[in-house]
Amino acid sequence: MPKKVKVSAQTIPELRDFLAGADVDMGCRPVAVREAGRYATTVVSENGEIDRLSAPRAGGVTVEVLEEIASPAARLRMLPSGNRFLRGQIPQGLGVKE
Amino acid sequence: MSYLSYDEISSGIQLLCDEYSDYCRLVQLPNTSVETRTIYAMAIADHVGTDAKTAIVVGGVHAREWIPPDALLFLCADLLEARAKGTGLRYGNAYISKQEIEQVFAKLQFVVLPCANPDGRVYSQMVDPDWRKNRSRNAKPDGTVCHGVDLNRNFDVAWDFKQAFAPNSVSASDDPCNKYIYVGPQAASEPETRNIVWLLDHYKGTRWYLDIHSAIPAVFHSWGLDENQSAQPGMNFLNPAHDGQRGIAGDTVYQEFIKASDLAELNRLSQLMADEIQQVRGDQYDVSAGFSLYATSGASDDYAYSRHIADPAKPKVLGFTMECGHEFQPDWQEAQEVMREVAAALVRFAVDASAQAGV
Repeated sequence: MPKKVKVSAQTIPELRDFLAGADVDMGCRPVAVREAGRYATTVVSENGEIDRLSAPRAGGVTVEVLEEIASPAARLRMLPSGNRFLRGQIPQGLGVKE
Repeated sequence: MSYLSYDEISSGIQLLCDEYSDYCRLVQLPNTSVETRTIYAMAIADHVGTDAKTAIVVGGVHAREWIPPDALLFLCADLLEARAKGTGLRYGNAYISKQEIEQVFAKLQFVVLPCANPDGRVYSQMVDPDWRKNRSRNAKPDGTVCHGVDLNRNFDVAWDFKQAFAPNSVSASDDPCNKYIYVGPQAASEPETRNIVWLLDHYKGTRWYLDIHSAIPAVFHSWGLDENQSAQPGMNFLNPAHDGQRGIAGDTVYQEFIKASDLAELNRLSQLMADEIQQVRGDQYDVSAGFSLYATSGASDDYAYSRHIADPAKPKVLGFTMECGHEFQPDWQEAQEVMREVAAALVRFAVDASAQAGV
């Protein structure tokens, strides 16, 4: 089951070096956010790769597992069947008209 | 209710433009998708036209980001209904008045492409919810066939990342089997990419381009190529003397030139949108240039902004990327909250843009 993981380091080059060659999903856009004097990024990875990344090593990189990602089946269950606009119903937005 | 399918998005666009024909013109993009799906956009204004002052808004470039296409369709539904009925719009604690809505329609044209990558959307919703790219067929010399180009690495700005950037500095791949960030066989190789280019070419009054993605959350602007600097104009993406130097964070060897006034305006509008988002339900979006952990090559927001630099005959277009929400596919209740944030931000942006001097 894939998990969302936060990786942080003192510097961006250190973060890049750590992630080089890692089998991780960087999300839509690879960003490093400054948090408490460090640089952090959030990636998604499978258990085996997370274990490898989390193995003790020299340096100041930390790896924190945040949460499990919902299974593909669970996400696909959120989807419709058919076309709800086929009978001509006009789409309604989410704003309150006032 | 739940996330929309591509067929629903397509039907919804057509229904809205038919229902609100005084303010909405259906735009059929010139290129069908790789899998031959027709793609529609909407031009929304009191007076639509190719020379009108225009903001282009795009969603669905990345297939697994399910919120943006729905958000943009529902935004258009809101704008059109509010205009037709003479109301304002409220999203949580964010409010746009009737007068502001009328000003938007009178002085700005919104061209909205809710779902730029329909094949990817369909594949993401029927087979692999982690799918990001389009569904191009990439045949390798050894006979392997992989699928998909990352459309947001396929635009013609520093597209040839191996030439333009320092090694290992850019989030891009020339491997056709890379699941996420394959750049394609050449710049603008994909029909879906060329549709967005066509919008920029066709609507000559375009001054802003906004690409709606998820999920960080943040509002980004140019450049994603490298850190910004406003002192050395010659240090830019067109200059081959800097090939191999781009993309290193924190160095002084290369930083991407941007006019100080453009940077100030990009920051101002990005912050305007983030502030409006916070009004909705308190969520805080970061605001910055797109470059941070890695450079990005060939991204649509940078392409939009790069056009007037590569060709001075083209008008300047400020480029933004909004990364909405915290997850690609949250439950529907949370998704709707994020869509309200997107809508509020874009309408507030439109009010500001509509008040600016004409083309």
